[in-house]
Amino acid sequence: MDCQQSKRLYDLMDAYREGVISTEEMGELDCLVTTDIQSCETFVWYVQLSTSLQFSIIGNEQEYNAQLEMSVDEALEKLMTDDSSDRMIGWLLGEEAEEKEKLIAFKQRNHIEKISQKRLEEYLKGQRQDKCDVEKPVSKNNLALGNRRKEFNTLKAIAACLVVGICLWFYLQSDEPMQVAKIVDSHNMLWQDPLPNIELMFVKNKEYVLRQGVAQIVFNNGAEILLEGPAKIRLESANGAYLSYGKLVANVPPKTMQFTVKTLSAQFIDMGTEFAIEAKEDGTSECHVFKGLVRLIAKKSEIVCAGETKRVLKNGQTIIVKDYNASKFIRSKYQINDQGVWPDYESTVLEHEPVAFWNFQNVDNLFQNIIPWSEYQANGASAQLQKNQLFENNHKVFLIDGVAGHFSLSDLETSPEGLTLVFHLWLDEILPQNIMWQHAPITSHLKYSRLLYLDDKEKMRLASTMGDDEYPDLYSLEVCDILDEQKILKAQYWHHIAIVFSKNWLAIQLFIDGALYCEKTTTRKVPFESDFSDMTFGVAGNEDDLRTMLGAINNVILFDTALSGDEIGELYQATH
Amino acid sequence: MSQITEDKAKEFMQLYLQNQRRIYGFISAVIPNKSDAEDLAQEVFSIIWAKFETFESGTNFSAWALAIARFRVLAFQQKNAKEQKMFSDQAIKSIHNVFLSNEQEDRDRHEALHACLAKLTAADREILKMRYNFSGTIRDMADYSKRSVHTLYKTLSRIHRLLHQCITKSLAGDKMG
Repeated sequence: MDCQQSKRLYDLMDAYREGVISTEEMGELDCLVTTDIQSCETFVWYVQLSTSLQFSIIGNEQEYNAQLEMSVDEALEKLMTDDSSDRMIGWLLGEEAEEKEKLIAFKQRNHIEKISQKRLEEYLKGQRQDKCDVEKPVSKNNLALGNRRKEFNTLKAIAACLVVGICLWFYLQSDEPMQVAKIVDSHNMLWQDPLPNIELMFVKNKEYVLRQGVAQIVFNNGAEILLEGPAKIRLESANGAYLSYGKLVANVPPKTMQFTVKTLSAQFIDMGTEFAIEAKEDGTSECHVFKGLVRLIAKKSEIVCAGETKRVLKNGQTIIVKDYNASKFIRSKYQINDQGVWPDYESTVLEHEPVAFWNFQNVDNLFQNIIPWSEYQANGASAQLQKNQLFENNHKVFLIDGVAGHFSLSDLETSPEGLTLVFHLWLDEILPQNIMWQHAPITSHLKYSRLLYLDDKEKMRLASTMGDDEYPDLYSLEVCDILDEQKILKAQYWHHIAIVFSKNWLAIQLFIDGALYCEKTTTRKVPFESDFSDMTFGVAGNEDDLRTMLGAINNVILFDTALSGDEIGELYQATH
Repeated sequence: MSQITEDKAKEFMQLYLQNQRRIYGFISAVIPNKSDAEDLAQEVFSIIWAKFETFESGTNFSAWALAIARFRVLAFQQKNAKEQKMFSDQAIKSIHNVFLSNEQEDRDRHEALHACLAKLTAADREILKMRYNFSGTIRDMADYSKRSVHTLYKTLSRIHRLLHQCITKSLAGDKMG
């Protein structure tokens, strides 16, 4: 265990001991304890330290050690009369008469009837509390505080129950069915019975059969599932569903209330998670966790960690599945393309030695760099990321996994060998002015920028703009000349896009799906200033006129050189 | 349960008192809620007492009692399966195995603890005393002591880690010596 792991373990153990551990942290601790013997030993030792402290500080240990030196009669008598043994009396009393009888029999055998009976009576009459207060003034405030809190909590609980009860009563009086989720997007969706309302809302506890296609369903609690047909599902509440058969991928935001998917053989409870469930008609079900953790409850309760797959048989028995093909699940509507899989470079891209490569599929919203940015930062460049950035009208710019990113390239702009930017692009719709990329900051005074956008004829264009009020060539726009008029962009399809800036920075080229689509040789080199060197994905324009892309971007690769047409063709072939 | 002999009762008392801390330690390790842990310890005590006649003298009482505790914990866990902040069956098994194997180490550490407690500052000892005498949560304790939860939490973490290090060094020193 290295230093960081060790520190993390201690943090988790502290949170656990103090009762402030979050659900996600609990899952993390569970995984550590289960999979790493050293972590487990450390955990046990840490807990034993707390117990030792509890016994040492409260003083129980010394007393019990002293009791060991007593005769059994003395020890038992002490046990029954000493305040420190109240808890043990409580244990012995229990809730069941049988336990009480055992206690009395035990005491009779040990000749302590008189004292213990008195003690029992005191206990049952509730006099114990008063006695403790008198004898232990130090703990009086604690007890009083605890009692006041208990009373307050009880009142709160009663009030909450009343409010919920009244609301529920009023709700049940209405004729409206309880709608717990709705469809926000779909692909080739066909339901056995049409959904009864135009808003595509799901009614609680009604069974729905999706014959084919994919439905993206958002529950009222914020959890989202992609249900893939054929599937039969019953939405039990805004927090869960029963999947009779079919496949789904659930994405549960961290602050969402507990979300549960049930099948014939098991329950799967999210713990801040993205996970896939496949339920089969024979009663078996499988769970694969992409991110976070899932608690699986079948014959026994267990945790499924990220990257793991567990199969639950009809009888509730659980089997770990190795080498599971999790790519068969659809995790995003952006995955529904002709290939049916994500475009993925694997290692091919590394052969071309990129400066940076960001794949948004597996990295949990983090940009990953092949060459650390620190190397570039040393030369004055910086990377800035803004996750889930909200723009006007609350429109969120999505790259895969909801990341809107921009970064600075002040170093690369001066690259003597030019620059190549490659990415996969998915457009929800082919709309004019759909801007995919901007090489400029989002500011009110646009000076220089380069844009990738769809023009009024829905053709993709790469353009350079420059100037504002301070510059004579205000808003001059140099647009690339289309070479391949036959090339038609498709909506809901992953296109491979490459933008190349030539070695002398005078020519720009745009490649679509591995082929040169348009190019432009500019009349002069467009200058860059370090303050205006941000590269922004998914949004363009300025604060007064901001345009957002409707689609997604993935696999962004940067090269500090101008790649040739053949090299771009190779990259395209590597993913198609 | 048939009539238990006085010797057997005496044996029970001695064994239980010797192992009480370990049994309670195991339960509190896997049941984070203190009052649940105490309730469960109550049940386990009753079961151990009820079944003590079947316990074979001279065998490992600690392992026997911990096995009973483990089954009770698993039953509790199944009953409260929806509670998310609980360990899984596998984790409970792993923790149980460590408890079974570290009896002597636990006793050594427990003995070393007293010397390490003496090395703490008076202020740190007071905080520990307050924490372990206090029945409420750390938030309650912060309210009561007029400290911030964060400060209290960090202080307690620091003290526990100090003790942990002190005990480790102390035992390592003993082995070297």
